[in-house]
Amino acid sequence: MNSQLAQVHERRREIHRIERNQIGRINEQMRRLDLDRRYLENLSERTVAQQMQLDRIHERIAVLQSDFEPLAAQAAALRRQLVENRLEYSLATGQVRSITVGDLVHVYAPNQLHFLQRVVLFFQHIWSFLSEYPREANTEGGIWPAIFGTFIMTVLMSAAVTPFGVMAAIYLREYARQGLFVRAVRIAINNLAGVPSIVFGIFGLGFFVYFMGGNIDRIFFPRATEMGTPTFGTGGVLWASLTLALLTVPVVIVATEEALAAVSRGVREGSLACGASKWQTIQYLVLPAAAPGILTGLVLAMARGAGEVAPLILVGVVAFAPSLPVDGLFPFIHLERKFMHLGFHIYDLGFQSPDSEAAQPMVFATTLILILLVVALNLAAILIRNRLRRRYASQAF
Amino acid sequence: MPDPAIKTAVTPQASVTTSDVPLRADYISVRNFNFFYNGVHQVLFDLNLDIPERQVTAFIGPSGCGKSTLLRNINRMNDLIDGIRHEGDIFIDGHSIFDPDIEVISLRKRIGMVFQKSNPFPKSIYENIVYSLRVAGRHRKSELDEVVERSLHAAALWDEVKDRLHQSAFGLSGGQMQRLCIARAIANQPEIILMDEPCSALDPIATGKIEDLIHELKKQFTIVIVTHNMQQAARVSDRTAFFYLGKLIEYNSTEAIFMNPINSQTEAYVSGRFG
Amino acid sequence: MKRFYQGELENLRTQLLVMAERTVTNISDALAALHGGDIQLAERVIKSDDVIDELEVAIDAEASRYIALRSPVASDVRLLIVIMKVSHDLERMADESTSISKRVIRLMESRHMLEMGMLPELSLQAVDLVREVVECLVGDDSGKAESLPMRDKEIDQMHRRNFQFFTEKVQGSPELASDYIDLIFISKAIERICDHATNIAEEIVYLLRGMDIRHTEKTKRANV
Repeated sequence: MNSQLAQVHERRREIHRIERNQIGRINEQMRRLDLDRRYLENLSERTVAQQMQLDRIHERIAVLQSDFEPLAAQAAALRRQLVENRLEYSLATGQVRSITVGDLVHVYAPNQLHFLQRVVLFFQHIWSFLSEYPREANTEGGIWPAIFGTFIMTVLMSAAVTPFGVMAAIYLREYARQGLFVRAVRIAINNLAGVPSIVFGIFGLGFFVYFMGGNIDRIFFPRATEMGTPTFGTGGVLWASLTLALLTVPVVIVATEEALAAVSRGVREGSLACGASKWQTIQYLVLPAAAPGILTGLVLAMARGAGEVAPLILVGVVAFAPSLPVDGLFPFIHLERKFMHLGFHIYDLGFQSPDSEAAQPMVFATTLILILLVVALNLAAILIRNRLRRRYASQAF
Repeated sequence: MPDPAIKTAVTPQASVTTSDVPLRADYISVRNFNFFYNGVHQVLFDLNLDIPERQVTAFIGPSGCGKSTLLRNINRMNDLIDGIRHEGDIFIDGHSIFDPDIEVISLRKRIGMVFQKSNPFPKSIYENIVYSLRVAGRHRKSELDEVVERSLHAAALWDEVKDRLHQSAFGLSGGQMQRLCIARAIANQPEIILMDEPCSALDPIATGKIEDLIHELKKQFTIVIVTHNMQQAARVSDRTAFFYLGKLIEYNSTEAIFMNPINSQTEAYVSGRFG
Repeated sequence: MKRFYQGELENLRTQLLVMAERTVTNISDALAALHGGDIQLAERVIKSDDVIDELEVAIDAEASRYIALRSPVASDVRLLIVIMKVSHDLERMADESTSISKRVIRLMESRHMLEMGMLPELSLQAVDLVREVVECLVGDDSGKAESLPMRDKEIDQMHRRNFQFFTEKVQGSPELASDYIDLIFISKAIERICDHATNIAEEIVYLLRGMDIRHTEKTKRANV
């Protein structure tokens, strides 16, 4: 029984390997060639060179097709093998049922397990929940793509929001002449923090997706655009990250400004008296001293961004993404891809699933994960702040 | 305009070899100087005084008399404040510090400053001292090592910290921190050291060490010190200027100010019977 | 910890010791001129009095400068007070030796044979007392300094006997009256020198022990 199960797992992995890696790679090439083919075929007149190119594309498609077929056949054969064997079992009521072995995921006898085994099993389940792809329309399996999507989006968002927010704060605090205008800008920043997040989503859709993405597509991917398959002109992890960066930039600006203001006047004057320029002072002394405060602001921004859902629906999140934004295919990081997100995953499972009863445990578990993530980020912010306070408490400023 | 020969005499390197060149009695020269905050609020009124080279000149007077403001004008620290305005001029070695051709940064490189609260940077002792060299783009290790040792010796701190140069400056005591700040101020071989109440936060022992240090440093630097402590001014300075309400009331040798002041307000202030 | 300006105080003390040495020299020279009839020596004493006056002025100026600028306390402030008082005493002693020298010159010019009474003994005692006082000052010897005021009693008695003796001489031989009156004044001057020396001894005790032994029962009884 167990050896059969192991065989089933082995086959599944084999199918996965073939489908995702080898066939995936062929599909990607096919997709590109197909795009060129359709573009060339749609032209009313073709030059000789274009005709030659088209012929070459046809040839290569044929080659790829011939590569593809044995792989597909192999995969199909493995799938057939999966359903070859059936397991018959009887329920406590005496009824006899049967199931194909290929549909089995785990087999264990809960009543026969002793305590340690139960504990191990418990953690195994948690691990598979965290590390596996979803199955059965997200109602089964794990949430790994959603965790990964949330993570990559947060990282991208931080990368975008940090320089932007920090530079804005440095300008406002250190360089701008404190007057009516700067006051107005500060008020605007605080108001920006209060704008409903869906408004940011709409802005992101209009500005990033349609305007910027559309222009990028027109310039860099003209053929695909003409064929109606936008690359950047549709929602993706990049635009989602930038939208969230806009949403969280007030948090970073306010935190950075406070951190900069906390750097003592004495240190600044000391530096200037040593013949340092203003920028040298900021670079060598003010920023390092303010770094923990800036970091705190950034972590808070990440916590806020990781929990947002509404704007993401408009700019690139999907219920099920066939591939992660990072994989083994060149150029490895695919910023234009749609992605999955914990928050949206919860919404999808809870309200869009065909069988919401069945999805309930998944909803709760995913919610717990998301809450834990946000709590962890906030805790990190508090810890950083406390460490900073301790480090600077002893100073005679 | 000053004689170029005198100009070379005041750079510290040259002064060692040409010690026979007489020291200037008007090394820092304040002329008809008025100073305003917010454009209209006048805090200094028509000041005229000459500060001699390589002597200690003390500014005394009650709080708000403008002594610190004048001190901070000498290295143009007041430039940081919005809405300031000045009339008249200040000359260092014959050159106006407000000359538009003179960059304020190069001015400050020639003038070290020590503040009321010791303000070491959140860096190691070593990095604190070489800071002024680093911002001037000098990073050669042998040079920095030499400057650290020389400055710490000059600040009478070498023996106390030589084994922990690369530890945080915040591990030092208050007096040591202030001496570190002095070492930092002299690291880049300035000509002038400005001290803004350098001992007001220190205990008497640490204060004594700083005062002895000032006495040593005046052989090499022109020192201007602002102090609330009249005994301190009497002990360390060669000349004393008494300010009251933004005006220079009396400026004379320290001996004359403390033994036989001409002005009755000076007399009242130095004898503690003021106001 | 030694502060940079404490050297100034030591210099001041050294200056005082120089002044003390010079004063002792003047006193012993004046008395030597008296007993040896040495006019040149007497003239030298008169001349060198100016140096001592200058020293007093310089010490006073430096001490008051030190008080004004260095805010001295404890033993430093006692030292300064004592320096100023002692320099004043020394200056007075030097003045007395000058006045002795002037009278010596006049006596020499009148060329009379005179009886000296107890003057030689008094002179020896006075020079000895002054020297010992200065030794106490140099060697910071408060024990010896405390014992010195007792000797003033003996010196006072010698002076009183001199006074009686010379008064009788004036009455006995009126033609020598002015010379014997000079001798009375010389005896008085020596007695004054010893009074100042006693003061210095008391001041040394004050300097070293911080206690005032002037006009106490002990010294008063000794002075009767």
